[in-house]
Amino acid sequence: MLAGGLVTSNNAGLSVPDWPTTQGSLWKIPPMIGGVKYEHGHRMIAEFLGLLTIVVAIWTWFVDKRRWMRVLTCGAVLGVIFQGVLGGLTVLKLLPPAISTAHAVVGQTMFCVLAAIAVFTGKSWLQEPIERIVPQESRPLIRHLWTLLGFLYLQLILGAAFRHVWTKLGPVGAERWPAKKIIHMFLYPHILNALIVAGLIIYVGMWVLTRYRKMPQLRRPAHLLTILLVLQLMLGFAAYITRVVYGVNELQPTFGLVATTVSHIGIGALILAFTIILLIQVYRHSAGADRVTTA
Amino acid sequence: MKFIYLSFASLVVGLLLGCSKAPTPSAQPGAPAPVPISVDKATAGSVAGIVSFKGTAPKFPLLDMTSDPGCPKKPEPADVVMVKDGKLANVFVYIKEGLPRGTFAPSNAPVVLTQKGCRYSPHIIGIMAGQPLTILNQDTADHNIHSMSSGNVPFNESQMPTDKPITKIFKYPEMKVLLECNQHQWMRAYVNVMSHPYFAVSAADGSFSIPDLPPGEYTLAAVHEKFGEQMMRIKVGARENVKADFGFAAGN
Ligand code: HEM
Ligand code: HEM
Repeated sequence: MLAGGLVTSNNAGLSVPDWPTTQGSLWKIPPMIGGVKYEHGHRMIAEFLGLLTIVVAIWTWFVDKRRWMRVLTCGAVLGVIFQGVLGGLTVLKLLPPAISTAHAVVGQTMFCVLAAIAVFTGKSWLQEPIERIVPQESRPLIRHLWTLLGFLYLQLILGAAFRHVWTKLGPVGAERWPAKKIIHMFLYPHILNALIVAGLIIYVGMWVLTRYRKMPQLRRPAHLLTILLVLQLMLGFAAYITRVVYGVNELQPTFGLVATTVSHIGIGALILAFTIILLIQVYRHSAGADRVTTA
Repeated sequence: MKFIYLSFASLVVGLLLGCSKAPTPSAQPGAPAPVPISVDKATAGSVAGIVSFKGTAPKFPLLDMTSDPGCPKKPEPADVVMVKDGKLANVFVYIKEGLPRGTFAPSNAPVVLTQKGCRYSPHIIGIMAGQPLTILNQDTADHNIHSMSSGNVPFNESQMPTDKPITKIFKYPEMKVLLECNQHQWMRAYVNVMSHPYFAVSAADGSFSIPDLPPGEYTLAAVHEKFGEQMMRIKVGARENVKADFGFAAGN
């Protein structure tokens, strides 16, 4: 995720024009300098990640008796491959913002799927929860979490769209879209939607932290979500300053710009992942929820 | 609730798809059948002048090129705003209106863009639609040349120091096509693809000159990448050398 963010923030997305080859070769590693360092580094990390995902899937196939886990890990492999092809397409199609944005959104989704796999294979998953939530309480909580997830995706799409339209068609790109238009279309909605996301995280977080303190598997993600939210709001403002206020006239991405935008993306991905983990855990801890069973 | 955000999200995706449509080369609807124009050099005039700059030019931080050992080690000034003794370089001056209807045959002589010292030279390029653009790499560094054209077919190619020159042809007129190198983000050049040969780029002393102009009344435009475009009306008589000076100022 971070390596991908570095590619965009450094505007290095097209430093290696070909794919699936790299500068004409499938195997040779190009000199890792300038933009190539970020772009090819990201490719190699992605390829390694793909390999690891395949290993996880094969391992699961032999070791895990849960059929849905096998399906999930195989799905993850397909997802990572799809993501890789999207990444290749962004390069071959010269980074149209729509494909770059899709690559950003699917990338975060794959991160969440892998996080979920980690939860499903963790030690605590194999023990029955000691306490359970009554359905009257879990149902509205689950509804709120799904709503939060929806708004988080919207937040991600708006943020990625802003970032990619701004850097490709905006003031630091081809200058085909005026800065004002991009800000009005994507950034203001992103900031507005951040308020909704923040409200929901605080609401859900307080809910879990006050009523289910004794369930560590619920408490921990809820706790983390509230802390990450504060960080994310601050990083969002920092990214705004480095990107929109100072970044307009910069000919080279500054360290400040790269650091704030990349960490904003990283924390964004963590918020998405912990929301999904919390959702999974609430399902699991909800009494009568037989759909999520253990091995 | 879910419906609301789903529809909003699909709206966003739709907008994005809409704005990244493949470029549609301008077909110029209603254009008259191409009539080749020949200009009588014996009666042609010209326009020349100086582009000056008032006030303090905006400062840009020096470029740090040390991310690539093939690039200069010392910081260098950016070429976005080049003012010297009150004169502004890299202003693209061209005839915007008033030329006789018809087509001008493009020159076969290529315009050369050189990558040297991890910079593009020249920074502002004027070229005719159909005229070849030859791109050379004289560095020990690798480059990629990414054209962010919307009216012509965009391209992105890498060029190693040992690679052959790359030749590209822009088929349709288009102003301010950005060429960038994604390995060295400071490398940016602009190509102005014209339908006629009456254009020039102001030199370091602010001077420009457009020769062989058929007599007539024209709108002459001067455009700078940061300071925008200015226009003036000029009248060129037979064998007349018209003087036309432009003045840009800080903060406009
Ligand atoms: C598992 C595989 C992958 C994941 C999880 C992933 C994830 C990401 C993420 C999170 C970003 C940042 C998006 C943003 O800044 O908004 C990104 C950017 C990028 N990725 Fe990937 N990626 C993967 C595979 C690939 C592959 C195989 C390629 C190339 C062939 C690739 C090429 C790119 C490029 C060029 C960018 C920059 C896009 C731009 O600036 O518009 N990715 N990736
Ligand atoms: C909970 C709150 C927030 C979340 C979850 C969030 C999430 C994100 C994500 C995921 C991206 C990048 C998407 C990508 O390209 O991969 C992004 C981009 C961005 N966000 Fe946020 N964001 C939040 C709040 C804010 C706030 C409050 C601001 C500003 C005041 C802000 C300003 C920005 C900016 C400027 C970018 C673009 C960065 C760039 O151009 O590189 N965000 N946000």
